[in-house]
Amino acid sequence: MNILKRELRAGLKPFLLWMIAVFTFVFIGIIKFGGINTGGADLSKLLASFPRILLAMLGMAGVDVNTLLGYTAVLFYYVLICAAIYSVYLGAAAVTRESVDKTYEFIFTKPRTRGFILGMKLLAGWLYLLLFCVFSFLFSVWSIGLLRVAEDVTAQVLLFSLSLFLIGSLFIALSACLSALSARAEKGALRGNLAFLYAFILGSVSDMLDNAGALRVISPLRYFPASEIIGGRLHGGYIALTALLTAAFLLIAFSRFYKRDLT
Amino acid sequence: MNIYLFELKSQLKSFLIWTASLIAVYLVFMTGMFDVLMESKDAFEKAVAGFPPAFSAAFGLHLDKLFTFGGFYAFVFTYIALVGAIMAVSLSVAVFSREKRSKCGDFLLTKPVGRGTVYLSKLLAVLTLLAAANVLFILVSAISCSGSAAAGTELGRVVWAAAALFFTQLVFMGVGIAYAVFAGKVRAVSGVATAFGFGGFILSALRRLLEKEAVRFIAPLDYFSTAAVFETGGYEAKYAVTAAAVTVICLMLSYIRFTGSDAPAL
Repeated sequence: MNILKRELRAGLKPFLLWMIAVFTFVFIGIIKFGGINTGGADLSKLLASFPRILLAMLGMAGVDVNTLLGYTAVLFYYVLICAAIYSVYLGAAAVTRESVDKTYEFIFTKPRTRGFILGMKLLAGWLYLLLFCVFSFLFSVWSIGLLRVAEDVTAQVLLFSLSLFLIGSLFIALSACLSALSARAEKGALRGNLAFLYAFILGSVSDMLDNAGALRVISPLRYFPASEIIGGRLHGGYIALTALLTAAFLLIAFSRFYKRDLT
Repeated sequence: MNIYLFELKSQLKSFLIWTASLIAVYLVFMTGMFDVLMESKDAFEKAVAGFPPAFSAAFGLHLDKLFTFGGFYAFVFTYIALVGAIMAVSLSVAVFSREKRSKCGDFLLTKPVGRGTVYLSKLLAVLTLLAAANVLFILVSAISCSGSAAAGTELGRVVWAAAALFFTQLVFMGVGIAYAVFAGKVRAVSGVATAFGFGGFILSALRRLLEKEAVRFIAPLDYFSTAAVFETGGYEAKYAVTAAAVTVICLMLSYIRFTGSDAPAL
């Protein structure tokens, strides 16, 4: 419990900074929704005639940005990018913060096993990710409420936030695993960030294709595409895959953390 | 000089990887993807022909120019600049936070050189690396645009457009140095670089969505618009001035801090 409290305190400042950034982005983005909604159905038709590559690069593949839902979906893709980068940080920090600060000797003299310590650190990270998603949800619903539109999109925003949490969890576990496998702390963070970059590139590429097919399995940022969420569901198979991968990465992280040299 | 050479040497590997990625991203977009896009040109123009002209500027896209070399360049520049921004932040944070990360600031300060010299050597090292990367990048752009895709584009404008990357990187270098100097602790360079790079990317996306010119002042990836280069042959003055101001202020503040702060007791 002491470790958890300490970790929560240590993570508070970065969390607040991320939350301020996400809040500003979501708030400004949604409040200005009216600005884009001038052309009625015509703009949708125009966008539909765009080559897929262009839409993908605008982050608008597979959604109709002229509707409130589609627009929110585009905004949430950027929130997802933030969530993934934050999660990479959370996972890497849980494993390597003490070794960067050279305080491992201190914490390992405590009457707790390494597994317990790592577990508490990861739990703190997960709590912050959970808060990140809950607040993103609340900000969005509140901002959309200010628009005074009749449309009720709360259910979809909830699904978007849920997908943030799922993909974020995957990145926490992946980044913790990569950090535990790397001898040097700096390398671990680097690999985590590279993993995110690959996911971003793969996500963009699979957006450019009309049918991503097997590519979807290896592009985590696209496990829960906006088109499915707008349809009101998260793909069950991909929820299972995310959970499975998260568990596998955690397993490797823990088993490796027990044997790790302290440098 | 020793500090300068040391920093150059220790950043060499990361410099090579980043320069290669920059050029690869450029070639993928401007030769590979551009050709694919040109194939759909006729169909697209037919579809768009029926729309009123007001739409042609939707999302900051100039549809009439999109299927030209310059128009597409301006469109994908955000992505190229994203890579460039991550590179610039990662190099400058790595160089300027080295002593913070390895906790040897006191060691460096025992050397018989002033702090100002240390700062300038480090700055010069980062500038050298960025300049070298951009010379290569400009060369590749100039050579590749002589191919069929860019036929008819003025070479001078291609060079200026490619140079926009350098200026964008300078802004991010300034921000990165300021972060490295002012942050209490720098645990991982890669995390900082990713966060800053994608921060800029998201701000640019916000600008596209909002279509508000004012947002551009806070979207550093859009300070140097390649669209303007291909139209007028130069950058837009007010954003170039903003960029210069941001860079100079960051460098000045970090110089003051770097030369005047207490050396950490370790």
